[in-house]
Amino acid sequence: MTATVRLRTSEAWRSLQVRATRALDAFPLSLASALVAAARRRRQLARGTPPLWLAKVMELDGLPCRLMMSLDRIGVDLEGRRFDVGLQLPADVPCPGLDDVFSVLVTSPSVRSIGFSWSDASADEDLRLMRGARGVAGGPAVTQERLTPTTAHDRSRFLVRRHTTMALPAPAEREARTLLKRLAGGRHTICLNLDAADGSLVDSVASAFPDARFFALGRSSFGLAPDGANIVAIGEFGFSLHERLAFVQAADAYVGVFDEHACAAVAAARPCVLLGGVDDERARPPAPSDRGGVVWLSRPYDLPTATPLVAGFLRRFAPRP
Amino acid sequence: MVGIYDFSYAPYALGDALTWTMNVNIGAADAGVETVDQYLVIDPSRPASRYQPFIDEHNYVSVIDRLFPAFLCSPWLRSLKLIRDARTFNLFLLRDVMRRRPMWPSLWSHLRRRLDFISHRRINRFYDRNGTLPWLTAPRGYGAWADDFRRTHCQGRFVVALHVRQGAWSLAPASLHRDSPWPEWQAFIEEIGRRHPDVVFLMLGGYAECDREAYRLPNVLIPRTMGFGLGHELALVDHADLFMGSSSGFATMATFCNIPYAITNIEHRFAPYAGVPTGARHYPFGGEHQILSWETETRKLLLDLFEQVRPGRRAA
Repeated sequence: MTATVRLRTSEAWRSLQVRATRALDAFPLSLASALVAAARRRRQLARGTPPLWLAKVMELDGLPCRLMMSLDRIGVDLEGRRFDVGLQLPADVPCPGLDDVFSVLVTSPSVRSIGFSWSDASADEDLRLMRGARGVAGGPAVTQERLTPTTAHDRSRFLVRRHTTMALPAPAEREARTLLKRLAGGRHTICLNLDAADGSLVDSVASAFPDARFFALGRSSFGLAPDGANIVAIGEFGFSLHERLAFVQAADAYVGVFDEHACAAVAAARPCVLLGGVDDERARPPAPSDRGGVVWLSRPYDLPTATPLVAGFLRRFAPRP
Repeated sequence: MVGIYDFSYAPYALGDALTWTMNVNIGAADAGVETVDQYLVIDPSRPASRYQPFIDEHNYVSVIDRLFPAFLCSPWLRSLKLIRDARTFNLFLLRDVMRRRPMWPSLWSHLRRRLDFISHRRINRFYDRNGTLPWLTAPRGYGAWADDFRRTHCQGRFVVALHVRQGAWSLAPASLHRDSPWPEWQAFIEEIGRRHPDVVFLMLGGYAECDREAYRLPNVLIPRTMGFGLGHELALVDHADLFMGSSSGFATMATFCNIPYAITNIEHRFAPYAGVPTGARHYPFGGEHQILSWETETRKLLLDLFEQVRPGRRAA
């Protein structure tokens, strides 16, 4: 009873807030409201809140994954406080994955505003504005970074760190979970995010788990699903990145490359077998390791060695018959 | 030039976003500037206008995520911000006002929550004065990808970007009277396959909106089933030899990126917004191979339109 009253009161309060805000939309109240809002933001900046993270993107390959790791790190460091993000992208360089970059940024519940700029001048203007309150005690908290390819060390740290929660949109979660229920019911489900070169590993692991249902992500996943196998290729299902991430988090385990999908699986504490995904692999190949729920194999892997390792690892997390 | 798209009064809609971008371009061209800074403003507690009440704090992220690439189509785009905080946006706004930067909508229109996101009035006026328009391009960063897609998947064939509006099957069904009859389009595609084996259709639009029959047509590619999204599709429209489709957001892209097109099933009540009489064959800025059709599609009509606009293919 008390809970119901409290809920109704909070709903009424919220409705009142929304109505009051709508009233401020009317001119000239909207002008006064805009001026007051700008002044308040400026005062906040002078106090160093909320922080701003500016990153100059040096390399576009694997950007969604790198961003996801960076946002996760910043989110933990700031202990849930909200922050603004600015990305300076190289001008005149093809970037057909910008939609995925946006998708990653928009899922962080701590990110309040997202900025993309394609020129030094624009980035500098914004930085000047954000630092406009310099000299005031505390000063604006602006962090500038160069977003370079991640190293094995960065990825290792990501695996052992505490993670922030991803706020995937409700429709994406619903789509992924509903599909998983329809296609797998209560069976053990394993998400595969591999390429055609991993076909042999897929075949041997899938045959070791005849009762499990495997779901292959990726644009070329169709080739990974031989007729009659317990593998479903979902690469042609027209999923957005949000839906794919939700799918990975809803499944019971993940086997695949160390990309943004892997980050989502790790963040959701799913058992993971990670393959490659290290830019300086040749310089320092990561040894197969089992950190709690993660096994990480470098490429190229030896199939006779990898198969029992992966199968044994997955079996540890499979439900007992 | 500053562009403001505040979702508290502007709709989440592809065509409106592209028309807005065009208006921003025109503001920039009028002011003689070649840089555009765009602000997308969302208040998460009330993320949409009263006309789209089904978009709320729980699903707006999905909606803006799907629409985002539409805001990348200005050739002069220098920066783009999505701001989910009124204070931050107003600080940027105040800075730009103090610098007297031109804006679309103007400061006063924004403060009164007014935006003409439908009509072509300003666009037509600009064309009357200058005889050309500051056209849209493929979303920033996607142009080279579209060239590559054509090389890989279309193998020198004549590429027709196609969109058949099937709003009834979309995630948020609306204005279903504007939907097109798929069976007529299917018959048209099959006939073109017989007559012109060198033609390939790229079927655009949401995954749910595509009819399953389209999978069986050998002269149709469906980018969404290949793992691509709206940004890729808009780039493909810009790089296509021809666009054919119902009056919709993709048709707006074709209209404003200046490729040959045949746009069908146009709502009669749209005529005054476009500045043309109902039944007009072209927009005021449209060329010979940029045709409007105000009728519901039939196989015969589509075949006729195809033969009329096909010679307008751009030089490769």
